[in-house]
Amino acid sequence: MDSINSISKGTFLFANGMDLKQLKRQKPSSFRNEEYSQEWCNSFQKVWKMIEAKIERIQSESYERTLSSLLTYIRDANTNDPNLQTAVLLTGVNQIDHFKQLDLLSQKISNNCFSMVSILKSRDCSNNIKYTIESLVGGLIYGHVNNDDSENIHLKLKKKQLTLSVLEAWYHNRFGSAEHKPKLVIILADFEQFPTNILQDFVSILCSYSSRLPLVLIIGLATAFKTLHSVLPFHITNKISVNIFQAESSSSMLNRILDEVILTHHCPFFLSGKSFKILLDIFLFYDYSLQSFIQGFKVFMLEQYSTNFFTSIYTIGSVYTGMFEKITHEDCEWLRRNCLSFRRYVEAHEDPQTRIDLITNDEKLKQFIPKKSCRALRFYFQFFCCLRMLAVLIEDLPRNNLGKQLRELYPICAETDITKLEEFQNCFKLLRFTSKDKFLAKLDKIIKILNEYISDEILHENLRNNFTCVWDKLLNYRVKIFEAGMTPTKSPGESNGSTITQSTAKINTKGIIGRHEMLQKLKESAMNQPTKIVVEYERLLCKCLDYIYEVFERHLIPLTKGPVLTEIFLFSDCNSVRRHIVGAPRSSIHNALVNPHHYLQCKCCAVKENEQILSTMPDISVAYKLHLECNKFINLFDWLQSFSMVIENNNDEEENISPEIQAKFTRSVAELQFLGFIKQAKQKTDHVMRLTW
Amino acid sequence: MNKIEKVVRKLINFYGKDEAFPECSYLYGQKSVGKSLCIEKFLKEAKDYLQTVIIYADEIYTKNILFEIIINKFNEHVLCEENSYESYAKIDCMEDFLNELSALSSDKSYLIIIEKAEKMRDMDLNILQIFMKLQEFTGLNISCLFVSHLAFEKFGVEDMLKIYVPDYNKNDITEIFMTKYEDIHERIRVKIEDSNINDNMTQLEAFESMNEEFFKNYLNLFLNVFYKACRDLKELTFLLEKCYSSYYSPVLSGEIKANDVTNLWRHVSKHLKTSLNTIYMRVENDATNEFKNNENAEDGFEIEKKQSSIKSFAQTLELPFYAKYLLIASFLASHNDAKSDKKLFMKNHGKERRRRQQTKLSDKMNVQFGPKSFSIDRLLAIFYAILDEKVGLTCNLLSQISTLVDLNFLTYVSGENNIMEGTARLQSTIGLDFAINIGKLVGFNVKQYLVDFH
Repeated sequence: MDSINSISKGTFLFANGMDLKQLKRQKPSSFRNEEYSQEWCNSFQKVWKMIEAKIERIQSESYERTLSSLLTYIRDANTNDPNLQTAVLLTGVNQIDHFKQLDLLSQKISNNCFSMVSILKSRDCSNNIKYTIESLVGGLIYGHVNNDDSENIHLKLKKKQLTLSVLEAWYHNRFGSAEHKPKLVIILADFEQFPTNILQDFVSILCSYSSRLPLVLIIGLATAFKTLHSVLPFHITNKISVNIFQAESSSSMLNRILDEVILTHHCPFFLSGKSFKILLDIFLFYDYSLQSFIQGFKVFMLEQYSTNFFTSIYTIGSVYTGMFEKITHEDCEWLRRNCLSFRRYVEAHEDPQTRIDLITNDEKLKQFIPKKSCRALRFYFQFFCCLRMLAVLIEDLPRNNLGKQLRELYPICAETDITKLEEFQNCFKLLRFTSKDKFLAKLDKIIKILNEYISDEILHENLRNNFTCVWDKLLNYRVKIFEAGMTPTKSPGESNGSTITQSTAKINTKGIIGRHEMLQKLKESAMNQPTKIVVEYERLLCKCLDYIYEVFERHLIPLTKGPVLTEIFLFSDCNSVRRHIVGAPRSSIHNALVNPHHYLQCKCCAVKENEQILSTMPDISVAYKLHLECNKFINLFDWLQSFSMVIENNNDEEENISPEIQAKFTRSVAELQFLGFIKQAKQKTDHVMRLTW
Repeated sequence: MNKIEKVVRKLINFYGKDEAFPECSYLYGQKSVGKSLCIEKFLKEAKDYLQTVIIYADEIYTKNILFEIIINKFNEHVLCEENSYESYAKIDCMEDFLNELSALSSDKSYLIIIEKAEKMRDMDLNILQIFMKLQEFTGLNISCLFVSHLAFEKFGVEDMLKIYVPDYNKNDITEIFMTKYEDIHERIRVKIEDSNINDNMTQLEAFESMNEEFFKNYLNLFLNVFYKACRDLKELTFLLEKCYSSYYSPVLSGEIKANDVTNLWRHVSKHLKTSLNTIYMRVENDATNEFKNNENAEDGFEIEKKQSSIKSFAQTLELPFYAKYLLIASFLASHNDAKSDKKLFMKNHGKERRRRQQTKLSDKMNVQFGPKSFSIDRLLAIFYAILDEKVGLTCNLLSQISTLVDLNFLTYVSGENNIMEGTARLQSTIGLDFAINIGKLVGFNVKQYLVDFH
């Protein structure tokens, strides 16, 4: 506390000594020198750019579908119609993504259709119809000038002049004689957030101008079409003609991004089950925002690259060979300490000399890394391929507890050995009852997936042979199963029926006493049924499934138990990053007040238990801690007394409290009130009320 | 159409050539009965001797616009690049305006037509009054024609000349629609000719068989279905064109002959009924304007059908998991007394006294009253009580509340500016059905936590 010498200064800098040391110890390879940080930075940026490009491509593809229909609508919109042409774009509830989408839309419109666009956002319109119209007209007139000829740049209109009648005059002046007249597109980005009265006025004004100007209105709706009618009364809606366009929901878009970018083997960066779950949970439970999902992923990636040197050795599809030489002693140490699979590998190794070499000799280790890390990458490759196959197999099974989508399966597979799970076994049991058509379809899909993976260029030769083998076998099975139905054996349905009748006949012959006994017997007979008439198809199906099961058993190993060095590509340190992407204001304020040492790192305030109160702590911290001990209402005088007791460190209650203490106390109380912990109680004088619980 | 003619004659009587105009007059009648059409026709006849300007009162968000439009028009001042879109004169107040008006040539006659005149009542107090007495103020032969759908009494001003435009009856509507026959058919012809070339000829042949009689039959069917439900001409026009395509499409494809009225009826009736359903909904929920108007797109029609019920509205609404719980929590907070919270949300809430429950029965249901306001703390407390899992109070969670406010599912009642202090009060805007459906989506029984159903 001694370091604070002036209260007029708003901010105080505390050199956070301890944390720095910790950082150094934990993450030896981070920010070591500039050259090095350049290395990982380069590598990170390369990979990130590729990922980003892919994500953007997917996004724009998805927008494309809605956009293209919207664009054709705008192009064909009959603006001579007395009704105001209106397109309602139903986007998801999330506003950040929403704006991005609409910005893209406006770009596309002005590029592809001959038209001028103005986007209105509620925050720019400041609850006033005048500003709304001004920003609309300004957007149309000047937004157009920017990307077009310079003829009109000297046209400077006063803000007051930006009215629709000026727009009309300007438009006819400029395009009156032109053959192709541009359309004026107005986008209301966040319809729900505009005040109702403004919307009503605005739309009705547009309606009355729609016969004089080729206006097209695009409304971005977050919730549902119903909202439009709850905002606009009938006498306005009967002047517009509405077309609805539905944008792809953000969850299905996320699925696509996961399928094609994040849950693939393409980039040498993989999320552990837990960290993936964190991102997914934020998305599903909190915001449905793709943008924040992607940013979260980026943060994870950044953390991984900055702490773990080995990740940066690989960029997408290629090895950054020069990097191997740059591995330092610290990196090796880091590997030895933190990499569990490495430890396992070394412990299991038979040759004691290699063991010692790996642990003590950096050079040996460096030779060891390239080969093994390649193998680790191959492991991921197999893992994702099998994961995809599994997803296809069980996507339509009833009572499937594993989940239908890749995003549900991935955390399970990454954390646990899925083939040992009961649900998994059940799924395979159920699969034995699939009909031929369905199974063939599934098999086809699986073969297709395998094909895709095999034809991947970056594939290692061994691996390709390995997978081609699997592929061959499955193809073989497919042909056989396809033919199995052609042979004139009994179909599975018939055979089942016949066995049942047989067994029931058998049971009937014996005398039955009670229902329980009957049940028992049925069970028994089911257990030791005489060799079931196995249809060719069923036999093949079982064989095929067994084979697939085998493949899964081999490759769907939890990521942490993979071959040696899998960890260097795996991001599992999610808890440290979690704080960065999920802010918890209340708990961090609480933390800061209860244990100021955590942030200040001063010598005087270190406490062993959180309940401890020291006189050296900041005043507000002392006041806060005292208030935690109280009930809903706090008597100010009692509080002051205990406050002074703590600060002065004496228990003499009789003594008068010095004005200095009183001032300190008053200020802390005011600060607590400002932070929202207490407020003046109305019922009792001299009391304050606690607001937190 | 003779009704329109009559009104036009009356207008010409009022505003004849070389006649002293009345100070002002009032043209009224229901919405879309042809008031603007009357004015259009009248102006055509009177354009030689009359200087007119038409003002749409709902465009006038500041009075300057009103003044400038009028002055520009009467001085024949056109905004263009040469004058850099400046208006004729800078007019900031009524006095300037009157001065400018007085400066006009007194040889001519002037007429200001104000459509949607009911909006004039919301402008500055003096505007309507002065516009009613422009002759007095300027000494010109000037008059003001107010056009509105309201009864004159709603204006609360001195009496003036009134012209009433009567409603259309069924015959009028048929007559009006018959005038559209040529137009519509021309459009269809163009469409066919633009479409693929292969079966153009057969389609065109079939099209030829769709004569005026065919259209008249359709009109009859159409009006029989819709006239009871809706008399708004604009509305009907829209529906007419929308449904017509499904009436004639089997004729074009050659399935049904153009004179086979019964089969055509059978074919189109289903479509008419679905259209009527959407119109019927408006009649039911007239106050809330839920009527789904003007659907062009085919898929739009589908979406509309999907969204018509609250249930599917809840299902199509894409909300994050916790936001759904927050929504339910807000509903519960709005429709339960704070007193009963303990009973509802705590497991060990002690015994309740019997007597109070019995008196409660006679009370009205809480859900039938409007929503009550609640503080954010209470909302969060209920949220944590109904959610099984333990979630941290994070920024993301708190921002959900403001998202819900943005989406109009919650509104601030008071203290919007002091959220930090905890005195801000919110209110839920969703209904019981909606809350129940949202509850079903997340597997939560809303009724169980409502005092009324306890």
